[in-house]
Amino acid sequence: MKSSLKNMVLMLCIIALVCSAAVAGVYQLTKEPIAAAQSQKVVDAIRKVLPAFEDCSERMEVAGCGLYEATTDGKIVGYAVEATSPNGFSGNVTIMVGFTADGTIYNVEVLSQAETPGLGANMASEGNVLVASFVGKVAGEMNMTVKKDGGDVDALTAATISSRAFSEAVSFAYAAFLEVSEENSKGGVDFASLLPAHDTLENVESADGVVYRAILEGQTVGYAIEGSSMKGFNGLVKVLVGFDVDGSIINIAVLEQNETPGLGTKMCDADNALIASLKGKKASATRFALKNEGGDVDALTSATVSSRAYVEAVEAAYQLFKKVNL
Amino acid sequence: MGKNLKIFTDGVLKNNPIFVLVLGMCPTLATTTSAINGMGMGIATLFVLVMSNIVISLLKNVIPDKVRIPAYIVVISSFVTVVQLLMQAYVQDLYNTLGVFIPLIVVNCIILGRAEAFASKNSVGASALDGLGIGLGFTLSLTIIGMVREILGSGSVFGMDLWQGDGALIFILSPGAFFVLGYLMIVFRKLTAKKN
Repeated sequence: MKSSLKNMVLMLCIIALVCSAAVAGVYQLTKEPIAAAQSQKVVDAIRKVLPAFEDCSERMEVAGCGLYEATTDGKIVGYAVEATSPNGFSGNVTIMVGFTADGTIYNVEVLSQAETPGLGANMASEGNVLVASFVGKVAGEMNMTVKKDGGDVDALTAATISSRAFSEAVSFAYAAFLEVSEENSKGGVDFASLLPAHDTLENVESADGVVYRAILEGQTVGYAIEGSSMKGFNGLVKVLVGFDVDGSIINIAVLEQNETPGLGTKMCDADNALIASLKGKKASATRFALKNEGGDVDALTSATVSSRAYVEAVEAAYQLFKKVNL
Repeated sequence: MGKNLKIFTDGVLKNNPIFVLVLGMCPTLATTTSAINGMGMGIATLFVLVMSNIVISLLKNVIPDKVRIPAYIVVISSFVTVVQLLMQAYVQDLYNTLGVFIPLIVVNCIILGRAEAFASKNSVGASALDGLGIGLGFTLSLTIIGMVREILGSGSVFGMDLWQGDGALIFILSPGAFFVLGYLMIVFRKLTAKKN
């Protein structure tokens, strides 16, 4: 065809139009399979890095990582965290790290990497030393750098840079896990209901437990103190007890518990028998035991074991109070 | 028929894009770390080559001469995008391995080369055959290079272990790509020289 301006513009426009329509059509057709394939990949990875679970939350963005909360019957099984290190030998290394609720690394799965085949790319192979140096470790107790840098991680042979990137990604994931698990353990506690009016809340460093000091115009007005007991019906019961400076219990919030729904879980309710028998009482004049066991506390109906653990946790907080309130 | 067969076999042998024309070296060297990667790259290119040859041959009389290259590029890049989307949807692992080399098929000189040198001058059927021949030549070459590198480098072929332990790592790294390509080129020349 003759190369006149009209012809050229017209033909190029028609070709571009037809081609983009075709591409748009294929995009529409493949949109769902692509999304399904990608989410399937993520779900597979989460299943691999955590113990068996029933439900998995939507992706949450925490500290620059993608975090998934895995639960069974509403109980948290663990967290799968997708983290990326930009410092691989050839670009990004993206991994999925599974943490159980107590901060143990359950497994690590590589989602994408472009490291050297045969060297750094071995991070994705079954049972390599790099992954093995993380699996089963308590994340908070290990130094997540390679042995060459003074850490606890076995690097892949001849792939130190790749191994560093991998370790860095795990540490990013751990940071995100910490942020979420701390948030959960504080559980959006309403300090105002636990403490007298105050203008500053200070986290007191204490080797014995977590203590928050409430301060009003430079004067200490009260303490919120964590206490826990392992003797709950299903293990840990953790409470936060608010004291004024005279040692009276202002209020109590439950931070963690795994008790029987409908029975022991009533300890979380705003006005339950346990709180009612402790609230406003001077801790020094209270016998921390259930009424039928010679104490001053009314137990929850059909939840004696849970109630005992609750009382023990409150008493633990009081013991700590005696140490900090001098 | 004899002429058509010649178009097809020319693509595989006499005009083999890798060992004779030495075109498209970038994906050749980069993606042949294993047989399956080489084959995947080859098939993706084959598809784009056949489709773009057909379409360009159909359009050869309506595309004004002075804007033919942009027109070809638009057609080619559309097919590459289609391939990219399809791979992403159905063979995601392969897509992740080949990575940036899939979109780079657009600038693979084999494809534009065949569009310019063959499809714009020949009938639709002949162009399709030429695309098929050249594409198969490319796919076979890449698969063979990938197989040799995988056997020597990882001791496996198409992911199946031939023996325990590692191979000579250098064949998986970039230098190995040049070694294997060079030696295979010698072998290919030797074999085809006898036939001629």
